[in-house]
Amino acid sequence: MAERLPPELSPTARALLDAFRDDESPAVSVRQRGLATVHDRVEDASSSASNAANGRFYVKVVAVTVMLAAALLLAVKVVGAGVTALADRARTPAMEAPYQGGATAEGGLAVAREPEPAVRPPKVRATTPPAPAPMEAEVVDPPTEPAVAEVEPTVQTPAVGARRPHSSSERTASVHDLQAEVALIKKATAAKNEGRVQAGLAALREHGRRFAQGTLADERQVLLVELLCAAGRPDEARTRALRFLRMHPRSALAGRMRAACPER
Amino acid sequence: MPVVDPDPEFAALYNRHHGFVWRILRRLGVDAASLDDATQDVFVVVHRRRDDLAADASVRSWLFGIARRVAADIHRGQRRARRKLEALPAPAPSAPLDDQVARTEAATMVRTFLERLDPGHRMVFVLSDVEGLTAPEVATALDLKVNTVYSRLRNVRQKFERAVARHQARSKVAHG
Repeated sequence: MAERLPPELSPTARALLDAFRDDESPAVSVRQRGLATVHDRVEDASSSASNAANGRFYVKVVAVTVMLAAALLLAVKVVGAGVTALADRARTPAMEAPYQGGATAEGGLAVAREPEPAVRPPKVRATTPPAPAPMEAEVVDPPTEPAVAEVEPTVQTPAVGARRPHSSSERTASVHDLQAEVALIKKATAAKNEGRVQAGLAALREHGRRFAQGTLADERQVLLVELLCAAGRPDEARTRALRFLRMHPRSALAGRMRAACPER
Repeated sequence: MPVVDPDPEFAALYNRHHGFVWRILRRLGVDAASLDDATQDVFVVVHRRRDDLAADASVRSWLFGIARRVAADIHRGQRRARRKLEALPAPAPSAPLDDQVARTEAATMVRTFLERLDPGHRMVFVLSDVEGLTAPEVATALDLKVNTVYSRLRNVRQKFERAVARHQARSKVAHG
């Protein structure tokens, strides 16, 4: 129905409308600021509306609770069965059973034993690799931090979250590992708050070495970005933040990560 | 931290239509102090409901519908918003440049013209000739027939051309 189409506007009229449109439009800075705010609001809304959106966070909470409960039950059970008797049996040579699949003693607790080769290697606890001396990392830290890859583990060590512990000794070890994780993260946080950046990075490096895929690995990532930023390495910090947010856009820590290294 | 953009698809949609939503909200009577928040409100809804947008639907018609509802909500809380606005310090006037003056003059002329139109004709003209929506898109957004859109557009364009002629004549007199 071409005859019903209205007449086109003259160039002058069009120019006036364009000027009006420009005058009414928001500034670019308003648009950019608005996008960040919208992201934050969407994230806040989704985190408060749905627990499922924060699955990883809640899995961690549940895992910690379950492990603590398991440790408590184990302690009650050991006391109830008679710690003395158990320890005595563990120390008896006869415990080196006629077959190789029996139990052995470790730290006074009965521990399931894997079939062993003819020549025994030195016994090493499965979930606690040899750790460096407590303050070693801080002492040997160079004034300038090396590449952040150092913070990430270079040696593959079994991590707390890597598999579900089956035996009581594994559960106990998991609880101990979790406590160690918490201690390292708290140490790094305290160091950050007190402005001791290198000490904080050392604590994170130790956490990364011992608990590559640990329960608090995400917390480690956020602290790492904050500390790198405080150490005057904002580019590296933002690259890491960006990578984290790409991988975990709906993480409960995403908001904190986004604010971890603001541009001055 | 502006480098972080966890949802590039949404960011692209936002950047493409932010200005449109902003101006439409303004045309729908949202006051200047609330425009930023209102625009964000629209995009929060967009983010939540973007899966509802049919593949063959016009994005801007859909956005207009959301913006209209957000504007209606804001009007309901207008009194509180006005109190907020009054509490804000007045912005310092910046020294105008020649082109800024010309643009402001033109914008004032168009704004005055729009204020004199009835709401039905005004929104057709704004969506079509300021925002560039097609007649079918305007019809969808305003729930009108396409022929009604054409009819109103023809009427308003004629009025606007006359207003432009008067504005030019006055400018010639004023500036010699």
